[in-house]
Amino acid sequence: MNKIRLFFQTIFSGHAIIPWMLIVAIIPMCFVSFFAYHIAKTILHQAININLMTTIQKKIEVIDSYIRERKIDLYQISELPTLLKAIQNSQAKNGQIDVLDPNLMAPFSSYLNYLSKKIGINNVYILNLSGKVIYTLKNDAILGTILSADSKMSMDVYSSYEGAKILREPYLFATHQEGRRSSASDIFLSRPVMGGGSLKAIIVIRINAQKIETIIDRLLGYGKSEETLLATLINNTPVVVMYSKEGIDEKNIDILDSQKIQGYLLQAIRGESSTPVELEGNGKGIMAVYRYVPQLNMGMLLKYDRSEVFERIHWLGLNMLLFIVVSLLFVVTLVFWISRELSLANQKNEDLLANTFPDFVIKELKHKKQFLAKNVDHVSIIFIDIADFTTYSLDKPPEIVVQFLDNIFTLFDQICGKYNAMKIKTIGDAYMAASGLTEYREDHAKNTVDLGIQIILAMKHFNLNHKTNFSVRVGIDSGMITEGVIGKTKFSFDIWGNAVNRASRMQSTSEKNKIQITEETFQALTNKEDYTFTPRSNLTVKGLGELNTYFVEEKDSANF
Amino acid sequence: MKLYYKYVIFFMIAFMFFGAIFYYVYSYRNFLVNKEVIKVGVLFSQSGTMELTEKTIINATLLAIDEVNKSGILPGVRLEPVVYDGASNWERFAFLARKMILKDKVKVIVGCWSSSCRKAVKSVVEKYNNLLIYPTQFEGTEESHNIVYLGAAPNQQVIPGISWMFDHYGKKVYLIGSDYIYPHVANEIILADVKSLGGEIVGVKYLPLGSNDVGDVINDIIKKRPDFIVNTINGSTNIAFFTQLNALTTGIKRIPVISFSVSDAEVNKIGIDKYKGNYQVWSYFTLLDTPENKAFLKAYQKKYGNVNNISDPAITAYAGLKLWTQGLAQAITQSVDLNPNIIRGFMLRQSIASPAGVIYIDPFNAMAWRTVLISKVNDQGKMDIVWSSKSPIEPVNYMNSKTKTEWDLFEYQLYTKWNEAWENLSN
Repeated sequence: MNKIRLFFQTIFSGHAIIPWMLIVAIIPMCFVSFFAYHIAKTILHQAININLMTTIQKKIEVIDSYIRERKIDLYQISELPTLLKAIQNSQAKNGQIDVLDPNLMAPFSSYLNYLSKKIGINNVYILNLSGKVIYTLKNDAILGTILSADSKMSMDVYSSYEGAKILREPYLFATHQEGRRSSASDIFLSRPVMGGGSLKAIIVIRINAQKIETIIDRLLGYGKSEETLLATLINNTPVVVMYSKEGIDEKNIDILDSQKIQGYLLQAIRGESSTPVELEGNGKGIMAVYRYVPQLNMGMLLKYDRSEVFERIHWLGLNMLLFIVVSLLFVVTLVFWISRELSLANQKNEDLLANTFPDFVIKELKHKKQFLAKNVDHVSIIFIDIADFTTYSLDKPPEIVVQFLDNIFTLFDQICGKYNAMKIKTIGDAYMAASGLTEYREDHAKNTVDLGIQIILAMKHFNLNHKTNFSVRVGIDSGMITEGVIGKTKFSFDIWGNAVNRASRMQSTSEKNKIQITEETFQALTNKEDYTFTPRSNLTVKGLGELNTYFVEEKDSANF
Repeated sequence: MKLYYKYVIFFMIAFMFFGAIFYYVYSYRNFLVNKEVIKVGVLFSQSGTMELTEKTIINATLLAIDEVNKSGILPGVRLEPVVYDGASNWERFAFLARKMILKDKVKVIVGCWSSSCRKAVKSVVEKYNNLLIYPTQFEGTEESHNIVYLGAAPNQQVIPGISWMFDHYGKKVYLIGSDYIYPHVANEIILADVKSLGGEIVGVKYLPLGSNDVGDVINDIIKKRPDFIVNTINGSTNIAFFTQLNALTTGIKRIPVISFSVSDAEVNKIGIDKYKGNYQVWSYFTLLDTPENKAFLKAYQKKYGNVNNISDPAITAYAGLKLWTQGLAQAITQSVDLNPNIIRGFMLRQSIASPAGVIYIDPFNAMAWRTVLISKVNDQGKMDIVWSSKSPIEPVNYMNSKTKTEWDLFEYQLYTKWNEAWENLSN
């Protein structure tokens, strides 16, 4: 339990500032970046989907307009005055046209010959209403024969004829032979020929399906990997009759092996349309989109490599990643720098504070923003005064004096640390310290006495080293004091009380290189046997009356 | 200093936590957030002369709405049907359409069987820029930016029917229809077609909607002995007509009738033995052997317990709602305003694998490309498909025999003749 508490105290303390700032800055940034990336990707994905659907739509529209144009061509051919005149002048048999006027049909043929190259017509047939072929543009075996649905040779022409005859509108019939290429597929367009307000004959034109393949080829699609398939139903199975692939001359229709493509084509022929669907692989393979082609009654499937289409998305992802990494690095550096600066500044402050105040005061100040004055018992206060320093300093430059004082007090500070005493302050050439302030110590009196002894020794050393002749007067008292901090902006820690006053008096009435202690300190000493005491009974002290005091020395000081 | 850090850290953790929750909700908002309700008006007659025929259309439309809601095609959207009873009265249809648009705030109305109702609703949807999906065969001669016509156009129903009968029965034609706009325009088309084929129209008769007084007409038919009868009667009059025709022509050679508006519901009511030998032109028959049809029949059976009386318009309404859904889904994907007219724009060029085969919406006149099927009721009472166009046929709204202006004038003359109504209410 304690460990956990410690852990939390550690991570929530000011020392863990760097990792926390990193987490605070980076995690939301990663999060936001990922979110932005996801949204951008979704939008692009959708845009690509819409683009693909538009592509297939465009191809269908191109076919649509091609067929519509052919229907207009057919209409114009059927309305040609030469043809209508030939029909009027024709010989009839059983109420039906039997033979068209050859004189009039010759210019018609030459015109059609010219036109057929221009608009890609393979052949033109004219049939009377009983199904007899009365005209063909190219010498066909079926001229003069009566067509029927049973004859395999002319079934396609007959179907086309029948459609237009019953519907009285342009009718399109496409034939395909299984296992053969699109050049073997034909599209038959037929429409009635009206003469004088009544139905006279049916005109049929034959267009090669290759023409449609060419126009799909010509239409720029989505990318290089794109393939377009047009399929129709033959014996209830979808068969690809037209196939186009951009930039490739050799056309192999080996793609039909795929069961999935067959399925999609079947759905397309039935009238379904799709958003892009996957054909193979886990998001890395081939994608397809399919639709119904109304003019040809076929299904169209557009097939493309996913990698090509999604190239741009990958590019976006890469850029986004790069952007995220660079900005993360930037943020990390920034955060690191800021937090280092902050922590350095903090450290400096704390050091300064630690020099001015005792640790426990700093702690309490940090926690409670103030330090409440309180009484502390069992404290020993020591005053150390450098005798004759004033006289010594009279003829010295102030820098030297301060330097000297600094040297001496630094020495005192070091010794203080050894004896668990705390420096309170210095007043001129006097040095004030206390023991037992932070916590209750049984040996507070002993500490101060030892400190005094050590300082006297140290001063002797100092004199030897610096060729000076300083001596110190030391006064100690023990008892209750009040500690506290005064000031709101410029703090200072201090102690007050009777004991402090008496300690000061002890110092002032002491002698050179002697330690004068009060009765209270004498009583508080736990190891009286280590020292020798010289009582100074009934010493009159100003403001305090008569006191029993002692000079104290180390027992075997002779050793020194 | 220390306290400040605690706050920052707490704030960041909270930010991350709520951010994660927000992200989760954002990603799966479709499942967590309340779905937006889009209302779909379903406006057909549940009473009156059209009750029998229009009931199935409502059922099929509601089935489509159910299926769309279950399928999740529309992310974050739930369709809610608003069904009103038009009571076979075009004025009530117009009133209810206005109520749907203004009060219920529907985004689309699937509705209307008869053309007089459609014309009444047309003025309403055009006024409020809403959308009507019209699932019934009609006479063409109309275009609107607020209607998607999914029913068969004349060139997908009337013309092929006449051609077939001409080739197989003869040249004498008798026309009979209800006395409102559709039969009049259809007969005008037939008139021109028969003329171009060199045929003869021996009689034209119109009966008021909902009338059962068919005896005179049948006597006239028997007197004139046509090769076939073209029937454009709508509603319950069909039952009286076929029943009495069957009764009065027993013993003499049966005159085949080709009908454009007789639904299975009425055939069942007439009795299959009295109806056999007659022809119908629809894009859909219950017996069609396609996976879509089987799936539809299964779903319909599951929801309503039977598959009786399913007609072409019912299938069309079903497919129409799904086509509208496709358009709506596209509009949602492209984040455009879900204005009814914008959704109509997205519906164009859509195709669907419906139980009646491919239905594709032509971008130029917002009518449907549909497969034409001519069927005959054989002696066993089953439908034989005698001719099929094999592929969907491009719809034509203004037939060639008249120009667009002539057709508009023709309609206008009828409208004024009938005292500014689309239905002859004088008799």
